[in-house]
Amino acid sequence: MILNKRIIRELKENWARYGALAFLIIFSLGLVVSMAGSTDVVNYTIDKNNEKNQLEDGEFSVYVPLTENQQQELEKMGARTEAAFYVDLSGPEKSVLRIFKNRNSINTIELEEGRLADHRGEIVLEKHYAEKHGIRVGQSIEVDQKNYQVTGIGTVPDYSNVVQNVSDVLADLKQFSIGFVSESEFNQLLAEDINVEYNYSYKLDGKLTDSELKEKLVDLDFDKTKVANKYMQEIIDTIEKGKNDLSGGVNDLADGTQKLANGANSLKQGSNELAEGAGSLVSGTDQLSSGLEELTNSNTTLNQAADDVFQGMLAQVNSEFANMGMTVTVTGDNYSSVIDSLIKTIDGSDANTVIVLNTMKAQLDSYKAFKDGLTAYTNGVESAYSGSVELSAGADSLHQGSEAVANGVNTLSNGSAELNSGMGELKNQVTNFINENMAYQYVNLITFLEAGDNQRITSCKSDAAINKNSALIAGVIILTLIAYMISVFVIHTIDKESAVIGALYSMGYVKKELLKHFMILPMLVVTASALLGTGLGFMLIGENIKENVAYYSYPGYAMVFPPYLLIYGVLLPILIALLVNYTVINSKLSLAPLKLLRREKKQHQLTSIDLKEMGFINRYRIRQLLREIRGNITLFCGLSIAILLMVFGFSIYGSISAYVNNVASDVEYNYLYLLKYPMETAPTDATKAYTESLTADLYLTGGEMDVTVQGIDDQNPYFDFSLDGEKNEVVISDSVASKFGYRVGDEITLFDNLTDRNYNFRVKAVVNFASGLYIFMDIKDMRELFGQEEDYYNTLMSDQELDIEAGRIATVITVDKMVAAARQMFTMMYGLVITILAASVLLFAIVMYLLVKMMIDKSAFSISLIKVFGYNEREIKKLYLGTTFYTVALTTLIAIPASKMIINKIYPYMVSNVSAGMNATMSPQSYLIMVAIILSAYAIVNFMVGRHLKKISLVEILKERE
Amino acid sequence: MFIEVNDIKKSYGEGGSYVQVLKGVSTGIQKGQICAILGPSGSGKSTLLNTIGGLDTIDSGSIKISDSEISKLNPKELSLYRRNLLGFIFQFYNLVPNLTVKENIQVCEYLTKTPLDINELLEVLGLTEHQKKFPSQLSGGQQQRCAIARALIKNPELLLCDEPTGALDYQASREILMLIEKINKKYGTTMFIVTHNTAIKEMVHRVIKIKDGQISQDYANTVLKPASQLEW
Ligand SMILES: Nc1ncnc2c1ncn2[C@@H]1O[C@H](COP(=O)(O)OP(=O)(O)OP(=O)(O)O)[C@@H](O)[C@H]1O
Ligand SMILES: [Mg+2]
Repeated sequence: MILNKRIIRELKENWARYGALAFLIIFSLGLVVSMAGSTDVVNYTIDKNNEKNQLEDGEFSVYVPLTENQQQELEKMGARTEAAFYVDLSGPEKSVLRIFKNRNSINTIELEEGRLADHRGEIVLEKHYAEKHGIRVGQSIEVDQKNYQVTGIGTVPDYSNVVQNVSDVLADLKQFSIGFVSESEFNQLLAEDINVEYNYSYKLDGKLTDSELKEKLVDLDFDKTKVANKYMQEIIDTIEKGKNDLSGGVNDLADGTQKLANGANSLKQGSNELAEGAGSLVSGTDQLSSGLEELTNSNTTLNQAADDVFQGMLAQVNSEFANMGMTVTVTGDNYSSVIDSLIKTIDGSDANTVIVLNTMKAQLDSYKAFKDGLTAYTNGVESAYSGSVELSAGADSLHQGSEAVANGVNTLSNGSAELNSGMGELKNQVTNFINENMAYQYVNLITFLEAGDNQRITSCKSDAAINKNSALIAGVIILTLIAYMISVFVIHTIDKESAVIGALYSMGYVKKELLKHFMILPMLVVTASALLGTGLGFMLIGENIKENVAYYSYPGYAMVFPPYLLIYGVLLPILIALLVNYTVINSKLSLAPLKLLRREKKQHQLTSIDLKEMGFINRYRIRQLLREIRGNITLFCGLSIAILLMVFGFSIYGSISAYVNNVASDVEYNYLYLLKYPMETAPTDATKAYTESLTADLYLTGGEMDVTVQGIDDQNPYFDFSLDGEKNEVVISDSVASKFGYRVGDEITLFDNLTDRNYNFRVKAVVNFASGLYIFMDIKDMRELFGQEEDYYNTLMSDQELDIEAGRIATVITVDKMVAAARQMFTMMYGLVITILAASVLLFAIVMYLLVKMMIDKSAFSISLIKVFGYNEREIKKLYLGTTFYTVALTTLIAIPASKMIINKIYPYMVSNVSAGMNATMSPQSYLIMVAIILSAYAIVNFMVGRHLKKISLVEILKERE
Repeated sequence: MFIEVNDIKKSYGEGGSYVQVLKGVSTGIQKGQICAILGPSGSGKSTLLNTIGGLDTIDSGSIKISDSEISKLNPKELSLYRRNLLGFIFQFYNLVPNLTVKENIQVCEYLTKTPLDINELLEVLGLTEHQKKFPSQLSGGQQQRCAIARALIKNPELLLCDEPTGALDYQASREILMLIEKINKKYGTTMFIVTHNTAIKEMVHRVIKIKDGQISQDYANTVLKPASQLEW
């Protein structure tokens, strides 16, 4: 159609306008597609790698390695396990290298260069570590004063986020990494090193669930004598000693009783033969006293051992109560009535608990019987002792009468009888007790972590998912805006050429033909821009994931072109443009030809507002504003979106800088040591605390997140809040409050995933503590709750570095490192912030320029008219650009607070996977900077449009008529 | 009769702003004739032309072109009618600004399967040397010639001209009128010319004078004066 020739010319004449629009589309699509595409590329690469290298379903660690049989048994049940033991050794430049042996079938090594370490003295290094230390294949590296030849560089799927501890916020790729050696080399290291972590990876074949596997592992028997860890062995030894003492005591007791029986027999004899002579009596008394003496000796040991058992048993019961969420304490005296009343209150509502309680009671009963037996025995010894005293007195004053002797013998044989009756019972009870209760004390399993909860595996993927979704949504909003803007321009053209269109209609053109014609240009611009933008987006992916690639450890990525993204990037913009332009242009072209010929326009009702009361300039501006209401509304929408983006950028900036500052100012200790095996006496220059890691439901994602419960006492110099109050009351950090949405007075529930237990707390107060996710409670209450002894601790806080054996330490947190990690996060987000801010400023300026210029163009006739009337430039500017100022000012006033509210709502979702509380905060300066940006963008656009205004010639009036 | 207009009435507005513009107009015209419509400003000339062109509706009466009633056509049928039969020439030429002279003509060439030869038409209208110019580079007369060429290219049976010389000077006006005469002779096109130029009535077959919405005079010329001899 020949008419279409004008399209190219239209494009040429308005290249700035269409160019700017195309730029906006290309720019925003480029950003969105590259963002979403990056996520897809990363996810695809990781998924592919995980499959290829057989990513584990989970992992667990134990005190004593599983036996071959046990592994086979687990495999038969549906869980294939592979040992992934490791030792942490010192590498170059004070770094820590975690050494594994080569893997067989789970989490296998993906080599990027070289080969696996097959021989002694060879090692394969994780790629980022090798890069940061400038180590290449063929070079050598010193690990723990031993030289290794680097034969390969690669990655493993279970350490894509190379953090030393699963709960670390950020990885330090130079300070910590992993390495792989041959099996024989590793065995050698095992022989040398005591601090081996017996870690296993597992894969399930569908027959077994993760939690079933965990139960199996808890129940699994193991050889306590093989516990290699010396600190754990100390604990086992203490317990075992108590057990041995107890059975030894019982044996001694049997011996003593035997001797006593012998003595009593002799005594009887003696007593019978009393008349026969004092000689026999003397020998009988001797034997008796030696028997009693032995008995008294073993009596002390027995009492000691029984007391140990007593303490252990009560503590166990109390801790079990705590785990069930009950805040009762039983003693040896009240247990029966306490448990009975518990059973009564629970009865019916929870059959399981009743069973547990009954079992508990039965256990305590057996202990009671044991204790009763012991009492009987003690009484017997006492009676025997008093009998023997009386006996000797009787023997001495044999002459004074046989009645006293008869009394003595009588008392003695009473005691003996009592003793005998207690003895049999006692021995049974003790043996039962030892068998049933004392073996139950230890579980081999130390940690159990499903792959889905392991941030070493998940964080590189989940990092991007939320960004992707918000980018896609933002893209649709911006595209719709742009499509609408394009249609506004097309309408402007149609209005300008309305008489021509009317003429064409008169000649017999039909609407369909003209509609098609006017759709071509916008569709062409959108289609070309969509293709370019999407292409650009895919090209930018490499740049975009640079940081991800540099931070996470996974093999080189392969480009993917997900169909949905192609649809999103190419088809969606075209569809949106088609829909918007069709609707708008169609309604424009539906006017009757005569109306078009006469340039009649639909008059807005607003236009007829009575403005008599206002001054001429204002009246004129308002009229202009109302006449251009469509343009101004579009301007409002466009600027609002730009401002939303701007607020978003500043909020990210504000939130992270606030986090960095607060971490530095909230945390008052310099070092925090988490101990796996606390020592008996803590260093005097350190403050003791008790730390447990639990998980809480994260409503934002529907998942879970780790929180740290820390027990501190009121004298703790690093915290200045009080922890007085009810036993289950806690003080939470503001981080926890914002992350989980907890408020003062809330009842909160935390879980221990290893033991499957729930803990209930009540929030007493919220305090400032930005680092991590902390919940504080009184250390005494916490020990009681978790069934620990009076003076238990596992955490030390201090101002300076402490001298602690490395094997005892689980983690050291230094505030300097924490701040450094926060700064690192800041740097990682910085690029995003800059991109968002730049995008928002561009969007702001371009949208404003285009629309204001269009509105001026529309008024070109009246402008040239009032120029002819003799208005000067300043006055004209005032009349025509003044209206824009109203719109910009109004938009700023409305959009900034509205955007802030929207961002506040969205932001928690965006940072939901960061294990720290972050709020979208904007400093007052940020607001000022934003207003300054808006004003200068306005000034620049104003200047540019002003120049355009100058160019509108007086002849315009001759060319056009209105 | 090629065109039969029978007692058409047309009014605009309601209540206070109600005006009866055509108050019962009846006339007829034969194929190949030129008809001039004269009358004072506001008398309803353009309105009559527009109703015949199917651009405006009528309140009552009938308009028959080649025996088909166009006042009963729907918009789609109307545009088809215009496409097949009509050419329009306006006082303000309404050319597509960013198309050249030739392209502007081609825009309407597209509408028919049997267009006139465009180069011949350009030649006839004296536009050959201007054919690559844009409307803004032409004088008013040249623009109007271009608009005429655009209307003629599809060789319409009926040409409706609303003050085709209204914006032109004496010389240019005469040239346009000579063209109209020439075309009528050459192609046998039936024409309505609305004009204020009373001199025109001497060169046309038929003169209709309208006053206040009614035909005040309607006569045929027996002798036609060639356009080149018109003086005003
Ligand atoms: N859309 C409309 N709404 C209301 N009145 C109208 C409309 N179109 C025309 N009129 C009125 O109808 C009357 C006839 O108008 P028309 O355009 O037919 O006059 P004309 O004879 O062509 O005048 P001129 O020689 O000035 O062009 C005029 O009084 C005009 O005001
Ligand atoms: Mg008129």
